[in-house]
Amino acid sequence: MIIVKDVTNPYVSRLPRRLMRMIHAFALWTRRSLLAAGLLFGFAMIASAAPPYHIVIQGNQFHPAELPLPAGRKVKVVVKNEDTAPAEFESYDLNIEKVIPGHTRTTLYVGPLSAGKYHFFNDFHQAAKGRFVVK
Amino acid sequence: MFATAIIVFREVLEAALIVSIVLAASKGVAGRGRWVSGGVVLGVLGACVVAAFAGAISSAVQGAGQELLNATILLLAVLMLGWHNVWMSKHGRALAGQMSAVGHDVASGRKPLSVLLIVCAVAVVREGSEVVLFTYAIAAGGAGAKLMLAGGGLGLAAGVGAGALLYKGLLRIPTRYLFSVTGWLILLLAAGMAADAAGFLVQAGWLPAIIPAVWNTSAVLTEHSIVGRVLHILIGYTQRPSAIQVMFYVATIAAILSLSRWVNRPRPQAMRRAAAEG
Repeated sequence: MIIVKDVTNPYVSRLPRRLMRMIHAFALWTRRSLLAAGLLFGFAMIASAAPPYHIVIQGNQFHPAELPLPAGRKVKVVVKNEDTAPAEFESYDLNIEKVIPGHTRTTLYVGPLSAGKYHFFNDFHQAAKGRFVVK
Repeated sequence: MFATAIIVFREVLEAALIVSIVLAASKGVAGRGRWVSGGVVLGVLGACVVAAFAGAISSAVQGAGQELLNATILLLAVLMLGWHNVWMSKHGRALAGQMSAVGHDVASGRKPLSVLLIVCAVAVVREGSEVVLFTYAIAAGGAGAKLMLAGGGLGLAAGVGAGALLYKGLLRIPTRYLFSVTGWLILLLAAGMAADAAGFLVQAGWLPAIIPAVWNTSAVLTEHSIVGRVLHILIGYTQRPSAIQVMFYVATIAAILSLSRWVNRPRPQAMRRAAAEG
């Protein structure tokens, strides 16, 4: 029996080499992105080490309704809901949407932001409004 | 009362639009009604569970539980919608052909109908849990609770009505074009959801925003408006997206389109045969 190798079919001869090249590229990419993720995680840890800012929801209002924040750095904001009713902290400016059940607190990470005003509100009680003033 | 109606309407609208697009996109698939309504029912149950455990979820994973849950739900929906689109790109034409034929005993038992169930369930869970929490907030408020709950019912009806309108509108599209229209709708819907998921992961501190605001179109079209809201649901319009959100959006579109192309690629045998036939 004679086995004839089908050299005319490019898919037979090229595929393994191409596949190996893809696997190599993927491995390299994975290593690089893992390194990048590690670095970012490190930065995040440094950012979260700074003392947090505080907002309290009480009587369906934000206290303070205007919170100054520093520009150019990631900050931690702790929002405490002292009401019985759940609230939803929402901001279109910051792409934040977070439910805060009654008598609980939650942590938000904001920024790094450039100077300006960033509005937020309680989606469950829209009369309650506030803003971050970044300087 | 109307404030309540509007809030509930906005939440219901999102789920209703998604369900109606999924329904239109699966027109002619036998048994889809059962799967879709099953998904909605599961979604409502899931929403109640999520709402009941809101406190526990919120404090899980160092306070990032809610964001991670939202991101997971959204990414699951993106995966399912993407799968649906890739599947449709392969079988959609045959399906449309069968539907225009007289006896459309759809031979798509192979179509993963569970995908429809999961998409509807997730859409309903996410928005539904907010409606449940909000309704609870009203009920806890006491005074005027009945009137406000009536408002909530009104909002629910209006949201479902809007979904039904979209569905009816989509069905007016000739069968030949229906699936390419719903294909594009689902592509953009999935991309928008992926961008939302990226937003939640940034909020949880799991992803960097890279650039917090690539553009700011809040002066042109705010997400507070009903048009802004609908566009946010349908195409993922965001007035102030971060770079990572834009990247997720583009990557989702690229991934779904190239997968669709890949499953429809000309096979080597077919190519060789075509070459032999000259």
